[in-house]
Amino acid sequence: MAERFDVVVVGAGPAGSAAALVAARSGLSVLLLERGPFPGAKNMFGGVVYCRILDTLVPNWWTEAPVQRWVTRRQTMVLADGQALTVDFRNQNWGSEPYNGATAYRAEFDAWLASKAEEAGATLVCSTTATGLLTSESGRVHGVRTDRPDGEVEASVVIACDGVNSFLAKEAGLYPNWSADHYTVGVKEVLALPSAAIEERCGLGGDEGMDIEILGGTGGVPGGGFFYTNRDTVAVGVVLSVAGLRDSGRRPEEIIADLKAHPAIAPLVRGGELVEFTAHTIPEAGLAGMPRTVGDGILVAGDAAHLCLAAGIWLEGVNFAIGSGAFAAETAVEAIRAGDTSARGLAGYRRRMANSFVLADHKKLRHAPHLILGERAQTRYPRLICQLAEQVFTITNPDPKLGVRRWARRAMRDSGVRLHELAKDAWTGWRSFG
Amino acid sequence: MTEASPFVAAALKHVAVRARVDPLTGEESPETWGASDADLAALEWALRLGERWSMPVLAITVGPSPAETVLGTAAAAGASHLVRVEMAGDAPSRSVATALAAALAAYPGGPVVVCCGDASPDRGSGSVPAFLAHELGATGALGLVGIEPGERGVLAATRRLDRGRRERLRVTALAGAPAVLSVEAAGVRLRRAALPAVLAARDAPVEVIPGPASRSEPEARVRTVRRGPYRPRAKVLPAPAAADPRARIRALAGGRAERRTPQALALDPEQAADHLLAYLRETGYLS
Repeated sequence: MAERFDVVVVGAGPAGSAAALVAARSGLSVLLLERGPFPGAKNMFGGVVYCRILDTLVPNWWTEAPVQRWVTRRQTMVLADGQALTVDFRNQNWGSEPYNGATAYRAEFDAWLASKAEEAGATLVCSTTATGLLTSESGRVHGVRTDRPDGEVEASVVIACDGVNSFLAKEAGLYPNWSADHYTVGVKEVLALPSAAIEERCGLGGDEGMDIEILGGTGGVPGGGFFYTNRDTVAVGVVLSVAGLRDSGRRPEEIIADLKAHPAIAPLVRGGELVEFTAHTIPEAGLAGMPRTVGDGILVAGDAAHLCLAAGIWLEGVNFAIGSGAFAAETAVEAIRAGDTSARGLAGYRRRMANSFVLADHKKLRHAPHLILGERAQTRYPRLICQLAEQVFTITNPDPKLGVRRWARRAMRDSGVRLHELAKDAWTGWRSFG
Repeated sequence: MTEASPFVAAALKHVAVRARVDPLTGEESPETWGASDADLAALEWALRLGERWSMPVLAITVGPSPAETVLGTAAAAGASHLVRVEMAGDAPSRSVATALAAALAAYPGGPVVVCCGDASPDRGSGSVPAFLAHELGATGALGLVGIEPGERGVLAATRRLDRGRRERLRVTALAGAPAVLSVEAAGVRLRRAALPAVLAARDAPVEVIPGPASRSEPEARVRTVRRGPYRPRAKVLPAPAAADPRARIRALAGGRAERRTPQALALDPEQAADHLLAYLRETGYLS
């Protein structure tokens, strides 16, 4: 006879552990399945964890969460050949309570968050893959099948937090418009450096950290770059459009090598010893790529629901995962108590997300991914910005200064940017970011 | 297990199976704990012997309460009895073997075969199985890569020798005259536990036996006089990226690399230590 739980959560990443934590705290029996040998073992992540959403789930989380560095310095960098223009913002307030964002090793962070779910009463079972859904003849989900002998588990609600390539959500028919265009591939190198070298190169002190989001520098492949500081390592990498990478015929490691050799990045990574190279797909299409998140007996959260915000200056995922996981669990608790775990009974999930940052941010920034990954934003605008900066800051005596208008006109001509395209993209950008 | 039923035992060690090692100090920060691959292989062999000979399987470990994690793994896989001997986790091999032997010998029925991993990944010496065999007065067959159970109490074992040779052993074991087998992480993998068993194992009872009171060890005929520092294995470095072969060779040899001029300082030990520490801090190796 199959085991039975109120809720089965598949995947002990941030979404899954948050879902298990909330459901277990509500007194439900919760099984949290993780296919890796421990939570975080299968993870590939290079980024900043924004944990404000944890305030309600784990009060004073910053006193115990395994954090590498608190990000106090944030840069947005535009790269062109041999040129870089950087907006550099430093905020010491982010280096003290209640903090803003942190770099973290997800193998540590995920294990910590899963331990919170276990403390709340959830049953964590690792090294176990959910291979499929148990469904009734009507298509209603009533559990999962795992790769263990006698591995069927019945549940009132299944919360699929099984990552970007969610087989469970696909099996439930929640991905009607699946397309490779909805994905990017993130490729990352972790380089070991002495902590003092990191702090000196990045102008940091103590446990302060820096993150750089990079536009351009991907060899013409739509995407972007990143650089993050950990305690004694740095993560440098690129996020590349899957279709763009295929069409370019280039290898991602070549693109990272070029990025590391760029004069703006090379001094930061010089002498770093490669300790990790990883790659993973990322659901970066925003609202356009989002599957249905509610089915009969099933909810989808985190990367499985494509809740990853890639909007140029904002690159966020873990906070959306935690938020969506918590909302999924709240909805499951409500539905189980009401005795209706059909899609109608679980409809509150979408409403909860819509009333919070989880869907509101995606809705507001729904045009941003297309704009950011477009050819103009990827190649022509970085060239335009860098050329304009070059002209402004190059002293051409005895010639007089031309003035910004003429410099801009010249830079637009040289970089192939047309005014009506610029105006159109500016309008799209204003609608998204404004 | 009935009162006087002989059993097959698997001796498991709770170790850090994944650890971060500080390259400067060699200090280890354990990250993931569990049983080593060799111990898991030992457990699998024990389960197979138990099935073949219709004997219960007892999983035993030595250490503080976190060591019960490995017993949970054993219970999920099919071990019927779980025993933990309460002792410090870093007790020396001989004391561990003594504690194991005392617990096993005192257990009703007595062990017929005790399976152990050949060496633990925390730079274990692999000496526990030999000490255990000595303490139990048992036959020892160490460093095995394969076991074929025969009639009850009889088995054939394969041992790896140098230069790729193999040695076949025939082992006879009885309650009261047991055999200790140490196995490499080769030939078998621990069976995949059924999900209900994994869930039930979380509540499986563990019998905790106090470790033997500390006593002075008899003077060993062979003892460690001095132990050198741990030296990690040489690691493969990526090839230099330069296009010019001469530049690559220079990069490999360190020629023309930016470096400080070596200094020769005549200092007293205290000042020398301060100077070294300051240098390590300056270069980021110490914070």
